[in-house]
Amino acid sequence: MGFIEIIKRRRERKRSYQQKETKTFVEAQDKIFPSIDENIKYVKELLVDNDDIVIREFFAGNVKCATIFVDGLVNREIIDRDVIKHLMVEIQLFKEEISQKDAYNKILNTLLATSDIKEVTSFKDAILDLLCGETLLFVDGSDRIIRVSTRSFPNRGIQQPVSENAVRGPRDSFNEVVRFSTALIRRRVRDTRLRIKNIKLGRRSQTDIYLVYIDDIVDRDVLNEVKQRLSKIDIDAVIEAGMIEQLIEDDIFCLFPTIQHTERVDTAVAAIYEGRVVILCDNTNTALIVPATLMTLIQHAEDYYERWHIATVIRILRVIAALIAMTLQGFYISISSFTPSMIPPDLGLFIAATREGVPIPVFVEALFLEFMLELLREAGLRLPGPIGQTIGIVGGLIIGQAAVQAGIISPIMVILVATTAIASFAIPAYNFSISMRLLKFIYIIVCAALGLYGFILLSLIILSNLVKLKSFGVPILSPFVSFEIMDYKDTVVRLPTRYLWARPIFASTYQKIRMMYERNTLPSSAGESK
Amino acid sequence: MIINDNDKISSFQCFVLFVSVMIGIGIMFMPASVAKTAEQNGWLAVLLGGILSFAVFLLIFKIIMSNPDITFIELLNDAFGKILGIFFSLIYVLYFIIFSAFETRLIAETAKEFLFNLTPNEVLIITFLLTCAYISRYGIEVIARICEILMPGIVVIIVVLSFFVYQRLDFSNLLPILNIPFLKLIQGIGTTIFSFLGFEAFLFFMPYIRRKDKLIKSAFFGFLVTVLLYEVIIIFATADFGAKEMQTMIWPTLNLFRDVTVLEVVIERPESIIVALWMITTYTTEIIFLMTTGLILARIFNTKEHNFFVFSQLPFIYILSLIPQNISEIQKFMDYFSYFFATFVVLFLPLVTYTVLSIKKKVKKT
Repeated sequence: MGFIEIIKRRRERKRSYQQKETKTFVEAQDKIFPSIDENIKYVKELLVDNDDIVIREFFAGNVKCATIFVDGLVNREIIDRDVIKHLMVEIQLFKEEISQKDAYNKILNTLLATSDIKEVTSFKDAILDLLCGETLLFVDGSDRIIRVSTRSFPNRGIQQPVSENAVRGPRDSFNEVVRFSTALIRRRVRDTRLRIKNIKLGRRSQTDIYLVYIDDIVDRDVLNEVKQRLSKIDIDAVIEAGMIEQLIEDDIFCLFPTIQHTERVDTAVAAIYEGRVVILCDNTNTALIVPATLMTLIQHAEDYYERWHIATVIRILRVIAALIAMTLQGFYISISSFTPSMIPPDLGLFIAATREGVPIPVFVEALFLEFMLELLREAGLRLPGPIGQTIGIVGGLIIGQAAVQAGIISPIMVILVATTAIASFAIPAYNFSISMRLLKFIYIIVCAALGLYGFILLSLIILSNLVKLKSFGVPILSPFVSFEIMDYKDTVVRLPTRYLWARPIFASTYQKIRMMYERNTLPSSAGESK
Repeated sequence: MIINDNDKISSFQCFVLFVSVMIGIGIMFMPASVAKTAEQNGWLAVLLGGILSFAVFLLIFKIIMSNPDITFIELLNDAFGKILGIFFSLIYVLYFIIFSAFETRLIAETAKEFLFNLTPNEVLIITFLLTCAYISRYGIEVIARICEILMPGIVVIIVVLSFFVYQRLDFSNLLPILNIPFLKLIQGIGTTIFSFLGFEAFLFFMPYIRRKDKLIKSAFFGFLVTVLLYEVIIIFATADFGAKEMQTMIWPTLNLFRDVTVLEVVIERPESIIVALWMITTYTTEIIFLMTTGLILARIFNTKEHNFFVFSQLPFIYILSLIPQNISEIQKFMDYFSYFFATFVVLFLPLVTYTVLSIKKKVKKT
């Protein structure tokens, strides 16, 4: 009996949670009072105890007006010069008196010298605009509010990408102001079909999210899926795009990322042209790109700017790096502690010699050193620049050398750990390389328990996981499991740019051709053309 | 491009499934057991065995194509009534469970022999079963896709490795041809049949195949690739060891690849690599079997999901796989299994069902 009651009570409690307040927390009423004093009083009540709200009441002729704005989010010059000064001074130029009745229209049409104004008929919209950095202009006797666009908030300039460097390629990166990000994209895509759609997410934070895509290239199904998943989010506040990423990703238990993120504008734009959807989020300096495949995670914008041979070789290198970062430790442990007879005698003797006198087993040794490395990496990241480098030197050189000389760690383990670390740095997508690091530990543990047998079984599990995994309906191992032969052109190998005339099929089935390629339009050689 | 999991497989995936389900357990000791009866004519026995199996498959195909939109379970129900139909369906479940048990036990034995001498069988079996069950929970399409990735790699690696052995072969070992009594050759064919078993899983895949008319083509190429691969291995093994020496071996295929000199530069004892490869081939076979059993049980109990049934059969497989005492006993059981049980299940039962169904049809008409 008690059990059923507990369940009932739980269900009730859950329901009561669900019923509480699902509306937005801009909780103003819709109706606007005709009297300005009432309006101002209402705003003051609503935003009580906020000292950054500036209210200025003044008379335009004999009509009472008021501007309200949030200090710090607005460009004060516009308000002072183009709104207040105009209304207080220029109104003198009018010959006849302005009556209370037509004051509103007069002000709206002839007296405001700013380019972007809008009439607002509901308090709710007005307050939201106010909190975004717009200025509200109340005119006595009117039940409408004029919203003057004055947004200007603290920001930093366009800077170099920090996590995705390139030797060749543009140096601008997204920054925290989403308007700048959309501008950077718009600058590269002069296309009337470009869509930059706004969604507000976060019940309390009302964060701006922008979906960016080209209307006639994007895959409809993927777009609808993205919209649907975004619409299901009901969260207090969106602080960074990572929160959205986690709420809309496909499989929360899988270790592989299903959403690509980038700081580079050119990468995002290239994705838009491929038919993928870019999600920009305010206060975030990275853009999310969906759908992602495993191969897009090991690609880098620079691959497309360099010539194709180099890009291909480097991509193969990255694939190998990913494999090394994930499996090398586990492989070494499984062979050296279970089947040492697999190692050729010379090498085996060498390894045995270096391990001579090391008292701890390989597994513990590897785990210890990997743990040290992750610790150093984390510490180095959190510390300010110059000290961070010192940490690297102290940790890497001094502790490593000392540990070897003290005989608790064999030199070959130091080599292996260093190799895996370097390999994990070679993967351009940071979220992907973190997964590799995590999987490395799983490999170490499983291989220590089951050796080569466990190694193969774990690899099979990871493979089957990848085969199953989808990113917004697109298989993450895309060209390899969907068998679109055309898509192989830009995976591990990258064909010469003139052969990349078709968009990848995994991203879009519309508008397949992106380059009209005819042999005689491109100069094949100087001698032939003459 | 969104790919929906509608659980329909293409004809190429059918081909891949055929190869994956057939290449599995047999490949490691098939040359030795064939050599015991057919001696140096093993390659002929394999060829004939392949042709025979394909003929059996054609028969099965004819039977299931009489009503291509339903599985064999419904056919059984139609033929024998509900109770008897379910009984026969359960026999198929038992068949696949026993088959899986053989696979599991042998993979554990091999791993024990070549990788871990001290690890108990139980641990190896449980880990292997769980790994297989992990993917078998998903539908046939996912399994076909994973086979699509794994199978070409396996075939290519086996062929490439075979050609590294080429230099030390002595093809005079294959001569004389057909000097043994005809009866012995037939016995040899009998022992090869086990290596080809597995294709009967297609009895239950019919509703999931997109192009049913192309199934025959996929099956033909599936059998072709399998037979060719077996031929390469058996001819090379016979040429390398000679029929007499091979009879005494347990793992002739492993011994064949043991001395690939190219690999020895990096890896001593390359047979570990072969064991790894074999694990993957067994894995592909096993996941198909687990899924098939799951599908059958889901049909019997009339549920849509087969997740639960995949896991519920694991304990039985585990217990069954621990019954034989050693390798020779496993091989003895396997012979019984393929001679009696498999013949009954693969050949006899579909034939009877077909006959009963056609008689019923005629009775209805008149």
